[in-house]
Amino acid sequence: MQYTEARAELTDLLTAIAATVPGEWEKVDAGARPCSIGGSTGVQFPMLRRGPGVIDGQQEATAEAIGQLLTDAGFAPVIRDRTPTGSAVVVELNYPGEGGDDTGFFVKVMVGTARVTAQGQSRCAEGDANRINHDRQESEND
Amino acid sequence: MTWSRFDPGAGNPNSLYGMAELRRRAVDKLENDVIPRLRTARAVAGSSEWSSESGFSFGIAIDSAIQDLGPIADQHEYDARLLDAYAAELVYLKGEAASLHARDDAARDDVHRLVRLRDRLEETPGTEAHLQRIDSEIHEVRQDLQRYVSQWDSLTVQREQADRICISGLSGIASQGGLAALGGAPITTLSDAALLTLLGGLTAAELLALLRDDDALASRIAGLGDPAAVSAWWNLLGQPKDPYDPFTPTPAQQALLEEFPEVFGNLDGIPYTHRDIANREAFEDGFTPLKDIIDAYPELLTSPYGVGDVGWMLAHREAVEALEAAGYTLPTFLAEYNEGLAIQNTLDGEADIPYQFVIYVPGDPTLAAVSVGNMDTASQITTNVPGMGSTVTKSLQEWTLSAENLYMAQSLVDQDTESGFAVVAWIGYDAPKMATEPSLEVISSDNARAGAPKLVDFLEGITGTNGWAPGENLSVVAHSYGTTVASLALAETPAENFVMLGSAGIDSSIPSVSDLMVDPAHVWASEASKDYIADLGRGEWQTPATIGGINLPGTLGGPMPTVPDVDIEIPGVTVAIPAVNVTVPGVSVNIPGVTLPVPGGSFSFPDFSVSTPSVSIGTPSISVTTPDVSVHIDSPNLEYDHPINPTDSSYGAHVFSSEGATVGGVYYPGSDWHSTSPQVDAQLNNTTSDQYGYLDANTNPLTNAAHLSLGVTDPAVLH
Repeated sequence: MQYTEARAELTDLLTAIAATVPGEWEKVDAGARPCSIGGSTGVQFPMLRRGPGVIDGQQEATAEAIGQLLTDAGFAPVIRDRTPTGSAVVVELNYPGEGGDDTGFFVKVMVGTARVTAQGQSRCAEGDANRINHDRQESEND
Repeated sequence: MTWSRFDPGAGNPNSLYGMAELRRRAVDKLENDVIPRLRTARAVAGSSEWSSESGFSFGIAIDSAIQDLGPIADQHEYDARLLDAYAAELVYLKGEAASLHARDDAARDDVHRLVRLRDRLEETPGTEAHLQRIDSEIHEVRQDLQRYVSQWDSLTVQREQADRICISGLSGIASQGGLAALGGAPITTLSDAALLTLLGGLTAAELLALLRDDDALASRIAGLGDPAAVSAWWNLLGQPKDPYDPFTPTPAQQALLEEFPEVFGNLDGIPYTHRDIANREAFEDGFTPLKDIIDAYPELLTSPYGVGDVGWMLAHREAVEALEAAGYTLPTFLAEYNEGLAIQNTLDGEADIPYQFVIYVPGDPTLAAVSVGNMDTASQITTNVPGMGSTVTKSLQEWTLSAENLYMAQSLVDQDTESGFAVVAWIGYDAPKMATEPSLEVISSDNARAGAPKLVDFLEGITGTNGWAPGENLSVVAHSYGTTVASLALAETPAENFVMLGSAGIDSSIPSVSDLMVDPAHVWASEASKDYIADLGRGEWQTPATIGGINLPGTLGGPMPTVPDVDIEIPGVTVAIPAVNVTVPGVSVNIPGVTLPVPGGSFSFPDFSVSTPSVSIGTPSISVTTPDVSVHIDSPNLEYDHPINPTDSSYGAHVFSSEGATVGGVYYPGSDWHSTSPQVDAQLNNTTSDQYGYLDANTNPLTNAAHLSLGVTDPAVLH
């Protein structure tokens, strides 16, 4: 898989998750990170999206909807309650569950009344992270 | 005003402030009343209703009056600043003089008391030792008094200086602008408040001119120690382009940041967005020439194709000669270049999450800090403090990515904060070398004691710059020896949350969590069960429960074994050297005969024989005795300055887990060793690792640290 495909795979997934909770979402992605793929230099992309919270009582239903979306995409998550003591319900979705994913891919979503946050990391794919980051800086400065 | 050597602060600052206020009122009257009225009248004079010649003349007269009033208002404004600065200097001098008087009086009392005591004892036999001690004390106190004389001299000079600046300014030099008054002043003797007041009277162009001309002013500004006062001064430099965006520099600020980045890049009080601009500028200024050298001589970074690669060898030799001409050796150049590359790779990693380059002090070692997240708009700032072996070259990129892991984990778990976070990778002190180098620096607190004040300055700088209450919105996450540094710092300055990971030990001077300026409910410590390195810093050891597949009876460990000192007595030895007789035998030499031709025949010499006699030499017997020798060998036991384990219940910190945990069907790895981020380290080195550290993504310790650094101590979310 090309790194552009790996990046697009996660971007599309996070965009779809954001679409389940209407409102303004903030894209707070990190830069490319190096990784190793079959002994060659690889690259992966950590991403973070912050959106609005859901109405109290809608946390589980929203989590279910996001869980279905992930399952349909082939990333069936583990869903669990992460409610802090005395707080409104917070539900967490995680892919993968126990055992992990040897490509480095993961998705986490927290669904609460203050905000919904989605975090993930793309698969490790061939590419040079330092070069990709440097080229992006150069193009932004042009 | 009359003043004297021992009253250098004489005068009434309040009346000076009052005089300044009167001038400001005059400026206000001119700018907001007189000049607007004249402008109104001017508009009437220029209107169609009054088009006569007298109207035209009236208009010209008003134009002239408005033109004259502008400089008068400027003069009053400048005079007001000058009087404020003078008043601030008097307040400072009064304080210094009062303090010096108190010390001077106490020292004089001591001398009188000691002299009287000496007089009494002098008559008493058997008090020689006591008298000697008293003489020594009298000597020391007299030396103190001598120092105070110099300090009085210094205050006198400062008062003369303040008088000169004020008088020359008010006498009309002010009409030339602030540049004239500041230009001749020994800036280094002014107090921070007085300097900032005077700087406030300069335009950016004047300040630039002064900085170009005066290195002392540059270092004086770079060393200003009151972030709130610096912030107030900086924010008045020029008009913002966009009043709703306070963090885009004004043209005046931009000019200063670009031309003097080393002055403003690390100055607490100016926005971190601006420090980032300055430090990137300073970094590029230094790194670009190094990159140019590599572009010209790529052989510096390559290897020959083989032993016979003569082309490479010639090119490499030429490159090294070029380096030497530029004042480098190959190792010093490569060290500097690799450091630059590490910084560039780190900063290039910025994407949507802003990175701010908030500390850059090139040197030996170079110090640097990169914030993941915007420190100017963050509502919670966490400073990550690394441990031994941390350098910009080796650690900045890894530590920044670890900070990014924490930033993302905080973002994920947070359900409260509106305006976001910043997590700072702070390589801001000279970390002890790795024990493997080898070095014993890590068992001493020396590096921590030197580094802690820098961390205090950094944290208090955030407070002053952002206008927060002391400690408010600040968290510190420290690892290994970083906990030694951070605990010393947090004994001096407050924070809301303190998280310790794999502590190499807390200094003996901070024996309890109550000695920290952090609410004990928010001091948390953790050490993974497989972290065998942290113990060594505290003078302890432990082994894994299994070594080489052999199960040990549980984890072994305890204090480092001690070795007693050794005393050895080597008795003297007597050695007798017996008499020796040596006979040198005689030698016989035979010289054969020679026959020589002579006229009429020949002449023969006969054979000739010479013998020496044999000689006998006898030495006397000798006896040699060595003296008794005592040998004392100090034990090789090490002195551990920071033996306290913050996870011990006696210390009083709360303890959290850094073990792996399966929570709700999801496994979160624990820390497998002492490192913070072996996964990140492997990524950067293009390898893979099956180990996790305290701050690797998706680990249990990272999630716990994210909660705790945000002040969330709820057991329901900690695992």
